[in-house]
Amino acid sequence: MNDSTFSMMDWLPFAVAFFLVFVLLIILRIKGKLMTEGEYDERQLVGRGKAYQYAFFSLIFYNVIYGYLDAVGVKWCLPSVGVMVGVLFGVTVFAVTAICRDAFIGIHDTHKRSLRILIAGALAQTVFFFSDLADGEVVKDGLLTTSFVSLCCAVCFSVIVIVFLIHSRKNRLPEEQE
Amino acid sequence: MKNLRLKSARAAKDLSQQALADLVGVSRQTINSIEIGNYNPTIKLCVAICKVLEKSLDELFWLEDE
Repeated sequence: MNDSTFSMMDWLPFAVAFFLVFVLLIILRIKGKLMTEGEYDERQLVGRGKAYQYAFFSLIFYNVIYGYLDAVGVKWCLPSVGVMVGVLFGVTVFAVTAICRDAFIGIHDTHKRSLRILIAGALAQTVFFFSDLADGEVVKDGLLTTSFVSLCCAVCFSVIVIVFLIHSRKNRLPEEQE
Repeated sequence: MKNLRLKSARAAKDLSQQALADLVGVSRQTINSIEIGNYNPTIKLCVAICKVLEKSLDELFWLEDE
């Protein structure tokens, strides 16, 4: 099996990461420390619904384009990378839409906490990407490898942070100016 | 359509948007959106706002024929 075809080793890190995140979310939910739907007000829930809708259709759009390119023989990345890029694209669309509708963070959550997490994520993924780039692991046999996902994560988080900062700045305006 | 009656009722109680939002359990942006007419609240939120501002639904949210 060569690198351009499906490889279990490509999926393993993602599968393990998803499993760990899933277990963590379950634990947080059980302990009541996870942000619940109740912490968003009714307008925010409507906004989040729209954000999920846009993310869903964006992911479908991406899958159609990706599938078409694959069908006509345009290979640019490993299949696992293609899937992850699509997921990150959907996540970015969701986050940006939710931020623009004041529905990204709950009514009791602070902007600073969310920003710190996003900035830390962007920086960590950037470091991972450049580390892999230095090792020459980003492109193999003309195809982008899973290392490229780190760059996509960094870009995704950075876009979210920028939109978040712009929107937060707008929200700091006095009430009468809005 | 701007809800100036809500804005004036809030001001009469000397409440900021944030204070009213905290009292009814929503974000400040939601109160702002209602006041500038960008969001139509549910009846549940309307009632909560009316209780805090001691006004009737008609007084704050009834749309008069223009």
